Amino acid sequence: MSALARLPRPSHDGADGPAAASALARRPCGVTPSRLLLVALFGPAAALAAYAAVAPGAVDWGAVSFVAVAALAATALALYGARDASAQELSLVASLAALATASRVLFAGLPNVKPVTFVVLVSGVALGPGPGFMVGATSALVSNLFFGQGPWTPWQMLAWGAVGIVGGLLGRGGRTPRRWELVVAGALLALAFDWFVTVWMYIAFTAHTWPALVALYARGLPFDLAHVAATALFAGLFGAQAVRIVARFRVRTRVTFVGLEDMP
Amino acid sequence: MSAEAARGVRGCRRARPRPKRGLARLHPLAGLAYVMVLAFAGVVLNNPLQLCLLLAVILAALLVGRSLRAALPYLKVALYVAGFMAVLNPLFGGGGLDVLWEAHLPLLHIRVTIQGLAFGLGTALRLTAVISAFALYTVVLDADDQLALLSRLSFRSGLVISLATRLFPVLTRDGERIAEAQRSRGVELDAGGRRRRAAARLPLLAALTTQSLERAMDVAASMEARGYGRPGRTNWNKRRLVEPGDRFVVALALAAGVLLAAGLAFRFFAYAYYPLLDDPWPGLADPWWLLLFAALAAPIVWLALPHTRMSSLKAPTREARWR
Amino acid sequence: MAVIARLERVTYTYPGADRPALRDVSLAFKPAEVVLVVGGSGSGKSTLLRALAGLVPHFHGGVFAGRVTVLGRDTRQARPRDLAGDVGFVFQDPESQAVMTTVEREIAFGLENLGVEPRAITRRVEEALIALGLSRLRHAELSTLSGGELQKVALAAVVATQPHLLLLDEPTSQLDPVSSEDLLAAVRRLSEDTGATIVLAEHRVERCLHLATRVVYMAHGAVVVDDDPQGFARWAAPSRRELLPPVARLFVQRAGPDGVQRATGPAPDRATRTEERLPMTVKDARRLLEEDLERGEILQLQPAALSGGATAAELPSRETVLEVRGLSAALEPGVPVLERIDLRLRRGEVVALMGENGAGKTTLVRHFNGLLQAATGEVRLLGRNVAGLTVAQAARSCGLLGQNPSAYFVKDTVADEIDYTLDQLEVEGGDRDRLRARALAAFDLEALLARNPRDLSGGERTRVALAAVAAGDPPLLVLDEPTRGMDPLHKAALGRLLGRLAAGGRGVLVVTHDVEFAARFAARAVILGDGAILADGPVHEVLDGSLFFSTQVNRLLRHRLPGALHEDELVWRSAEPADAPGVAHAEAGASGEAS
Repeated sequence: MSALARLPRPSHDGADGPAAASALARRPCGVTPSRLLLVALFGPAAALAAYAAVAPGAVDWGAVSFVAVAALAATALALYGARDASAQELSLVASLAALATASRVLFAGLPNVKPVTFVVLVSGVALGPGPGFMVGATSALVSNLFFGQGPWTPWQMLAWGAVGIVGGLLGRGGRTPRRWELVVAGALLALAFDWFVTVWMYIAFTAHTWPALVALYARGLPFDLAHVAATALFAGLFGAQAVRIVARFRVRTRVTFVGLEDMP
Repeated sequence: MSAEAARGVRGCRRARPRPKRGLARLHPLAGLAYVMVLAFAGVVLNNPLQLCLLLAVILAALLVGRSLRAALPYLKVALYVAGFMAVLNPLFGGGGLDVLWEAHLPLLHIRVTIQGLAFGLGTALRLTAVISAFALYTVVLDADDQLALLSRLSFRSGLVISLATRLFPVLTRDGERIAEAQRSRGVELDAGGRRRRAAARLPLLAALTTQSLERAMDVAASMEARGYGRPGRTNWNKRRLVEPGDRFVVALALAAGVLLAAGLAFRFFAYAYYPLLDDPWPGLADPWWLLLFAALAAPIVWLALPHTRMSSLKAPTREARWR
Repeated sequence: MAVIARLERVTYTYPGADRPALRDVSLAFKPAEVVLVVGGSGSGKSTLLRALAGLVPHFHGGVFAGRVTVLGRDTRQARPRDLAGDVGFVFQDPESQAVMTTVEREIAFGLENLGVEPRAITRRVEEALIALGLSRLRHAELSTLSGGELQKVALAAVVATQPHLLLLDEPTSQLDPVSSEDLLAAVRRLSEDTGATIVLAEHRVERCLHLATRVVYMAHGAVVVDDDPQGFARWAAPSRRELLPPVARLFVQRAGPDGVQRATGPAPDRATRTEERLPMTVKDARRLLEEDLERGEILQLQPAALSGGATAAELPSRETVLEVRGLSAALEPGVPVLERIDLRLRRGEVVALMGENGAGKTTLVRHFNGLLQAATGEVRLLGRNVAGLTVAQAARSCGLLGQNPSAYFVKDTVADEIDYTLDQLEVEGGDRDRLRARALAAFDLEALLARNPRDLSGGERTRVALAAVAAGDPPLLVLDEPTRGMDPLHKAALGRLLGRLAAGGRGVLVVTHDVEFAARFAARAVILGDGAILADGPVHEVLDGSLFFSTQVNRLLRHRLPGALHEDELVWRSAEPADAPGVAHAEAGASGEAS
């Protein structure tokens, strides 16, 4: 068992071979109850957005953004199911999300050092934008399952999902980003994450004045700086190695069948 | 998961299902719809008195679900954040005519007005309501049922989240074991400043990553061997029957949702703090508000009624809900 | 059909490997067989099972030659998911198989994948739970279950699909003895009730030899022996005795060819024996023993040659390495785990710490290096109180190897691991070279220096992890269940290594469930139970006549030959003509000197 565990792990592309192709063709891309639900959710949200575009001042942005973000998050989750994800990919995504959350516990003694952004970034770089998004969104959900859900959950899902996507773009084509690229990306993404998650607080619950905005962000500044510093530190010290570790598990399966007569 | 699970109550074995109280007794979709509409109401409403009544409904839901104590940590967080807002808004919000205190600082002009204070209070109430609604979701609704619901929306997403939830305690334990193992060979993890301590933990994170991903591959092999990916998959989660009570609650939630959306568009629930405070009391008599309140409070009242309460104690009625 | 599964000339190489994992393997499996696949690490038994499930080659990739047919389907075309309804696989690690959060959903998962109707799923889940005795855990969260329970859930999940072929890849290697027995008993019940073909790969042969109908021994990817258990035992007797249960080994000595202690004297008449059988269980052995004694064989206890360190006489003069006084520990206030424990360990001793699962052995040893701080009582290492030290500081005096050797590996090569420890302990210059050389020599790491620790087999990994922990030459070494999942050869090697380490002047404490290992390689045994030390003394006193912590040989011979623990201490000889004339019966070891 031990020898098996160390070898490079192949990942299956579920859509290979004639059998799988015809299976895909048979899948209904039409109406299912869950899709209907999404339309029911998205429809009013889209209507509101249209209304907002027409009469911006009259709209309660707090409410609209709340519905929009929740709808987006739900759609992303529903769409993930539409792709044929292989067992390996699914398992990798789930494990990385669990790892991101567990790493919070590993660094628990150090306040405000949240390695989640770093792990999501590395996952995106190593696995691509789609899986990267899923790692981010799942990390937010799982993390809040254990530490409590809040209205910030859909925002975190989208924000960390975006971190995963950006990571995927950085690593597209299978290239390994250089250390400085990872550090800069990590720092900026951590900053953007904090900004994005706080923005709803501003829109929905704060008087819309400049001093209030500054004060709101100022309150979070020590946490944000620690987050940025931690992400940059991890990316700098450990980023390339982490990408290598995760990428190792992404090797594609190649099966070679050999006839008996060809055996040495 | 409730706070109990977060604290990791081991040895909490179950031959019987975890007792479901209050909203958890409903179909998960009904529970979800209702809680979301409560949160939405917290975002839309502005009138402080209406918000107080909304909070009362949420607290009542917690009480009926017998989870007030479990929800306390979240309520404390809510109060903390809300309190911050109650201070921030008056100080930096400006606006309002009845000035209480003024200060001219470089770059900043602080005007604390009565309206500002009221606005701060109102915002605090809204924030508390929204966070409490989510606390209600976390503490009262059954996490497994919600996960099953997600699986019906998207099987793969539900599976990913289920698997991640399953693996999180395992990886946490792995992380602890790795930390202890490294300590046992002389690695000092707690010496020095924050930067040094964080850097000392990085090799642990590397080891944990490698180990977790290998575990991921083993899990994937197990999934494949058990038929994951076969066409024609059935969903066992559908077996929860829909009861009249569920339809009732979903209908009410939908009605409330529509009312709130209409209220956004047509300003039914408008309440202004600036430049002068509106009189909040007429809002309580407003017909749209009364409809909304009825829609929000009815499920809780219905759940709290004796006949429905009785059925939660007797096993046969509850088990009849599941095929 | 006559054959459930067949392998025809299968040769398979993993991607990136330089040697085939399976070489020209041809086997056929019939319905209702229970096949035990035995072999050391790297022998290919795990690969064989995976080939039957289709995971090889579809999941792992690589180069595949030959043909595997399972229930008429060729695995070249059929993927693992296609075979899932007919083939069930239970993996080695309990934590790495489950996908869902609660037990009943976990069992339902496989059935959902197979497209079974929800009503039928409910019923099958119920029956699987009852069949494996898991009803009271129906709604439990998987994170609250122990390893043994998790494996039973995995077995239930697989059994619910009613497979024709059940594959188990070392399912008990991570479990304690009681859970292992439980699981194997469940497997046996299943084979009797369902008639499925069961293929079980295992190291601990003595546990399952008696429930197998057929044994396949593999080495280096090829099938060496394929026979029923007795045939296998006869094959193993001459040169591979470590594969047999201890009682069988005892009787092998009697039958023995050259190399086995056999006193001179006329050999008993073989022709009068009905059948040359080797016993697989203590019960079998008792009958055979009666027969042999009637025929004039005698078992004699050799003069004691205790392995594992200094003899009793020398010990009081050795320095005390570890002293525990009045140690008490509690999980939570009011739930005591340990109550006023006193323990002393000296240089040169090898001590085995035994006790039930959950008795507090791990809790106790974690106090020795400071991972847990004692609220009451004290722990002293070489006279110094542990309470004032951090774990890293205590590591200089006490090297603790936990239950997961992999947790110690943070570097990419074995050499780097040793160097890393020396760096952390801040050892410089001449001392460092000396310690490094000593570690390489003592733990026999020369051949492994450039390899990645995670690529090594179980036994090698334990060795490397122990070397990493002991690189700084601490006077006390503590090992927590090091023999879990190890094959017999590696276990023996480890035991001898511990003896050498102790002889070199260190104190060695081994927490173990493996009584055979303790009997052979430890000089002293300590039994922990109900929060206190129930026994503490030389191995031959503590384990002799014990109800639970006893070796197979001791169970067989305790009334006739008290003090006999393992077969290396015993010698067969024939009744001498000089023995008391006219006495038809022979005695067992009347002249034995008890140690």
